[in-house]
Amino acid sequence: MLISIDFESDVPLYTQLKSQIVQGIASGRLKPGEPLPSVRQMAVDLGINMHTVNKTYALLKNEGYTVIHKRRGVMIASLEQMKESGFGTRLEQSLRPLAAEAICKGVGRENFTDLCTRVYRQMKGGKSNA
Amino acid sequence: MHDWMLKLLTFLPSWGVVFLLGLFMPRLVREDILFGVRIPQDRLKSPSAAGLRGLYTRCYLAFSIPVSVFMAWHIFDTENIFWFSLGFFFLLLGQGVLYIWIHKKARRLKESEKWLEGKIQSTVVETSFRKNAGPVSGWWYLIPLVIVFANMAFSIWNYASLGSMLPVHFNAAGEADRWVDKSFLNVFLLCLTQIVLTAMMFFVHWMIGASKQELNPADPEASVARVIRFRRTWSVYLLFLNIFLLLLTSYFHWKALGFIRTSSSLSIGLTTAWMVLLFGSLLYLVFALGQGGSRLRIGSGADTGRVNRDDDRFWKWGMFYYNPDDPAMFVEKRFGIGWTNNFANPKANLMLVFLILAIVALTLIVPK
Repeated sequence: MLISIDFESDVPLYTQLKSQIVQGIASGRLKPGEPLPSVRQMAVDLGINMHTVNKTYALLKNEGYTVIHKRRGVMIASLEQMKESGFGTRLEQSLRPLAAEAICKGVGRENFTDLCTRVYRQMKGGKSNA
Repeated sequence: MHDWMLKLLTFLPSWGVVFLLGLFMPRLVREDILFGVRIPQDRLKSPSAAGLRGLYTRCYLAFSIPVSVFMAWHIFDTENIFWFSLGFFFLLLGQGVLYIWIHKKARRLKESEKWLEGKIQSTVVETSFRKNAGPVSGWWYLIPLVIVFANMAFSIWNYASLGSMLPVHFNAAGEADRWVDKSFLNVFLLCLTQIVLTAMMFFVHWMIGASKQELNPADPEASVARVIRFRRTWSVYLLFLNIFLLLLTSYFHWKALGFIRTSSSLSIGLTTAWMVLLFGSLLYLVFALGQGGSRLRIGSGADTGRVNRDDDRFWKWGMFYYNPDDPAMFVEKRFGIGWTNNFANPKANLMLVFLILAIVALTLIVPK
């Protein structure tokens, strides 16, 4: 999968890298069981500090997106392994500021939910415009 | 076979490669590099960029043609190699000075015309790159190793039967004109040379695999394909080069030791064929591939409008890469074909020093 990192962005590099990989999994461009480059290799290719990549990989592992295989290194976890019962609460928390901003900016409820549906469908359909 | 013909055969190809590479290098580099400066690829065809290329070509021809004539004159004129070498030195020096001058102009041009304004700068990587884009398997280097050790075993086997003097230099007629005492070092010097040569080739092979994947965000898919082809082709070429060179040097070694007796015309023929093959294939690959596969016709020529991260500040004169925050040991050259060090990486620098020491040590112990 192609990963694109924007160095001018306000979003930290490790967050960009993480969300790109998660989007890759959601859109099916990264398949379960597919290996990811080693921390070192990823840092070399991106030209960034290894600590940054380490941080991303630690987050991915803790949140169940990846598993460490003894011989093959970092791999995308199975979709079964990614499931998490308490995720609904976290999702709600992440949505709160977005909903608040939407209300302030005058985005209607219907518009808001339509947008959510569209983004969700696009992602599942293999399209993600990062 | 006259001596000047032999000289011409030795020097013409190397002069040709240096001259042609210098002349055409601005057109062989990556599609988003202008004289070592990172630019949006659509600016490469702009009138101001074309103007710089024109200026480079005119200045290049203005100094390199007189220097080349001077060199040609001295190759026919005298037996002395000094003036020819001096010409070579000035040819390279002139290329360097001219390049740096134009590089600075390109930098100012990018600045004053605000080429990066409104462009999204990004770095793109392919996660499955190493799986597909590595060089050929390192196991292929068993072939050169077998040749080296066969050569060594053969020399050991026949050591006792050698005469007390060994020929080390042959004149144009193929008769030995310089001899050294038989010694263990002199007999096995070639084996040693071959080992160092193979080690160097394997190092470059490994370097190709270890170097940073550099993709063009303007058309990432096509860029992946180009870079893969570029790396594969050079690593296969390197392996063949290694094998051919070992076979050729083994032939001369065996001939010097008297294991095989062949006519001198065969030796000259082999050398000529080798020269033509080496420089011909080298030039062909350089022009067919370009740096990073930039000359390969792959993809639809799409342009997402995205540009590579502006990394000019890490490149001194667009020639030397120094970036302490980058864990990469090796990156693609900006104005040239091949790879170069990240000079902020001590490990990479150490390897370069070792490589240079190995070459120097080898030239010192070879009997003159």
